[in-house]
Amino acid sequence: MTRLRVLLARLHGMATGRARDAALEVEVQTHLDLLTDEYLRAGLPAQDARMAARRAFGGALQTREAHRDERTWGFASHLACDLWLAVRRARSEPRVLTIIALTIGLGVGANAAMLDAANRILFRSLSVPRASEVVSLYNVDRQTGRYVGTSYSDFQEFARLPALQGLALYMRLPLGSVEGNHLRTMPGELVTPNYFSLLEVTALVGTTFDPQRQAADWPLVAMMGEDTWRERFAADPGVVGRTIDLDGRSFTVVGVVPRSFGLHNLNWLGRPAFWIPLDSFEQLHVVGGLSRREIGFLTLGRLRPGATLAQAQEQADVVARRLAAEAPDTNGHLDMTVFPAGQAKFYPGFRPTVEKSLSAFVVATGFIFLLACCNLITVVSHRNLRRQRELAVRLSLGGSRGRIVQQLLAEGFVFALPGFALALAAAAGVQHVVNAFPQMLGTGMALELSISWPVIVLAMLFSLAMAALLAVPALRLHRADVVRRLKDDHRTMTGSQGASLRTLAVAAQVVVAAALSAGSLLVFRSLLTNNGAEVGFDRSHLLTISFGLRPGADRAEGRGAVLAVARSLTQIPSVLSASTVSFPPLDGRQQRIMAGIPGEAPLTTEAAELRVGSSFFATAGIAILQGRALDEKDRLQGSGLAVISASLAHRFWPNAEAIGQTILLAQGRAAPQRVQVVGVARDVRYSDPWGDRRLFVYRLDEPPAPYLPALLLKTSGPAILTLADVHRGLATLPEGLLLTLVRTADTRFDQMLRPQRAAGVFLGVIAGLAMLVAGIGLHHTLGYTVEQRRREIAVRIAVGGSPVRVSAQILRRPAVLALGAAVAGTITSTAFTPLLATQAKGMPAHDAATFLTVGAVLLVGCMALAACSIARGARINLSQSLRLE
Amino acid sequence: MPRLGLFVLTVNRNRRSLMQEQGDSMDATLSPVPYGTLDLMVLKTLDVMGPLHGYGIARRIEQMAQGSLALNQGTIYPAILRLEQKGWIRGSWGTSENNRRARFYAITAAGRRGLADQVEDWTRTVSLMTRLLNQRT
Repeated sequence: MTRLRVLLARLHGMATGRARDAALEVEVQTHLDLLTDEYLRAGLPAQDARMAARRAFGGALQTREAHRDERTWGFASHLACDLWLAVRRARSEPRVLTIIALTIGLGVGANAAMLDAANRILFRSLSVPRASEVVSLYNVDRQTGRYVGTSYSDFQEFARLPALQGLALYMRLPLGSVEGNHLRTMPGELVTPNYFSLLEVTALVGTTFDPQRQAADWPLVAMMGEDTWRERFAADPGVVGRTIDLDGRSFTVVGVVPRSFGLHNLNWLGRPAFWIPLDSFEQLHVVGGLSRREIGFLTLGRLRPGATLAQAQEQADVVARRLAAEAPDTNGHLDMTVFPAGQAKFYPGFRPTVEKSLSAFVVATGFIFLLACCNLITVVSHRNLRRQRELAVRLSLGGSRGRIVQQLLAEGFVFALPGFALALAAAAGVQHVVNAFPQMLGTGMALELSISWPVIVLAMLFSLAMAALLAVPALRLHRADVVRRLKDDHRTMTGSQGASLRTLAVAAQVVVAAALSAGSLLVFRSLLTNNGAEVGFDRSHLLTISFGLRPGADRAEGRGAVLAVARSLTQIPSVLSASTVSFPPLDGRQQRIMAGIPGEAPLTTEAAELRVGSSFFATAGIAILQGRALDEKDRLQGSGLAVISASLAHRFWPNAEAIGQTILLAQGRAAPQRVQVVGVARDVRYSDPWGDRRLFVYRLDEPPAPYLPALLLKTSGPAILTLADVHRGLATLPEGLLLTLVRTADTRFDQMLRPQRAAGVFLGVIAGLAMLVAGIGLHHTLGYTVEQRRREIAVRIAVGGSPVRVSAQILRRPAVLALGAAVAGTITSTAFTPLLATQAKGMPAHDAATFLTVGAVLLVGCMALAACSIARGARINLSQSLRLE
Repeated sequence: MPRLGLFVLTVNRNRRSLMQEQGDSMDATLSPVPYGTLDLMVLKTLDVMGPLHGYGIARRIEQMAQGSLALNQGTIYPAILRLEQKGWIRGSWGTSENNRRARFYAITAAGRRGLADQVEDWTRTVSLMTRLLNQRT
């Protein structure tokens, strides 16, 4: 109780400090008066009586200090005082405050955001209870080294692993919901009934699926995502029990899945809007059935308490070997790998690419942090020289080093606060860029990066660490130096106080600037190359249209409807021709197919297949180099005829004619089909502008492919001018057909380059800043060297030395160091650029022209700055210099 | 009387000055206030004398010490503040003998209880020390 009372009294004392000081002053004065009166009564003269009273009272100042210490907490009181002083100093030094805030903001924000992104994407566990127990199983194909999903039959085998408490299957699929004339596609997830119970996810409203649910159970049920529930049902708790139509079927909503769950797989369409139990054969049939050949399912399991990942892996190996023996044609080359689920949030095959991309960005932002630290050291070091005298006076007046450090730390804290706020803003900006362009990390991902506690804590820690740099001057302070510091003026100091640290900081800045500039230049060069890339077809006169089917509509009828639309659109005067194609160009999708020549087994060449209409080559503007294009008469032979790309022809028959030859094509693990080559087409970059894959096989869509084709239109003028007419032509569509997307090929091309452009701009801004900061740092350091040795330069010039030679001699050391740093930076950048392979598509990582350009720019820049400083030094004259002192 | 410097900055210097002023004969007789006892002295004084201002408390303590205590009277005020924070004494403004504003302090009921506890502790400590010091080999 007494302690609480003292605590409250001290808090009160801190709040009423001035009033208490005034009251004590009155008490002390009364005390001294009474004492003086007493001495006067004892016969002392007035002057002596006052002196004696003071002596008897003791130090009044000490009394006030002791009283203040008792009244408050000494540390807190000093801190409050220091903070107030720091705020006043910050207001009086707006330029320094701005520089420090910008330095910390830029250095810390981007770094914290990228480190958090790397942690979330690569390492963080799923947001489910006991997440460390959750694992993910992926098949790995020994022949290709690729990770693939699991078949339903294999899942049943692996679900019985003793180390696992259970295994659940899931598969993403788009679910269609009709809105007017458009088909709205939402991400859905098909899951085994034990999915939610195994992951211990509880419903926000209603219940999760019953794990004992049987295939024959009725009605069909679904769970809804929290976002969908809030957006479409205004968070109505009565949604449970309602019926919704998805893909033409009615589902009863049984519960709402909380938002905290749903991003366990970043690779697909984002957070699922609905979950449907995989509990009827009908649904299984939709996605491929129970066949071992269908390997589109993914798994999530939970380890039994006490079981380890290694045990699960051993047991999975045993089962995989058994399955390989039982079904050699489907499982003979499959191994099973068990991953912690947090480290398999996307296909493990992408992991090296994503790791490399994230490393590149983390290194780049780390460079910025280093740069910021160097910059801060330079600023602090210059500020320190200006404050030598002030700190020395404080020290000589009895201030302890600890108190001065505390005060400088408080100053650093106050100076860092705006920087911290800027850092959060910068982090939000970086997160926005990464969320918008996840492809710049190497693969499309559904990311929802936002300012969270880890980012705030990281930013705060980094900001405080940088703020602590401001207290460095006090650590170098010794009482022994006081006299010298008081005597010396910083302008006349010839010592190397802090000079080496500053020079090293500048050298580091130059190195960092070189590495970042090389990376950025490489990405920009790649962007320029890809921007002007010849894709091999006429994209400026090409329009692409994608369709969907109304739920319940027949796919064959849908294809007929697309052909009818194509015929009607060719009536538009500016449309020259139209053709169907399995995928529109430049949307990143490919239908992979294994190709080979007769006698080759197994087929080892992976190519991309396009099922096209008879006028495809004329519409797309792809030149036929040998033989002929496919035409309507070829439909009689179905898909037995093909046109292949020049690269594929060269691969199979480098020295022979390809026309008339036979190739073998196999889809998945199906038996190879013999196809006759009738033409060789020019190589095209059909899927993406950088065109890594140029091996294409074109076949007629006869018999019709199992998916709805897209439509290509060749226009007489720029495609964008025909867009309005085409939209009018698509206003009424045949029954069952829905419009998904109408885009020009140019727009698609532009969209494909956006992630790369974002990466380029991101790196470019960072590199630009690095160059600027390094330039300013170097300029300051060289200028400071001249300023410090002004008297020496003046004297040497006065006694007959050549001004240029004297200045050059003095600046030789820092200038040579900067030039050395430029060379070292160029060499360092060769280690950095390989990390940018994903962003710099189409450019070699060690592009000599890039390094030479960066090296040359840096060398010229350093020499120019050194020349400026030499010119400045040469202008010094003795009388002016001495007058200044 | 020797002239003393004007800037008496520390207790030790102050004490030395006082001793110089009062002659070397005082050295042996003056003892510093034992650590932690000033609060008890102030409390007991107020208990016995009733409400007093800071000067009154200091004078009374010196009077009771009969010249054997080197007390800087200013050190009374932090002690008074400590006791006030504990709620053992209460201060109120009044007028001093020389017609000046002064703060008078009076012991509270909690202060009396605290004093009783402290006196008991002190007595126990003194008797323990006495026993220890009087023991024979």
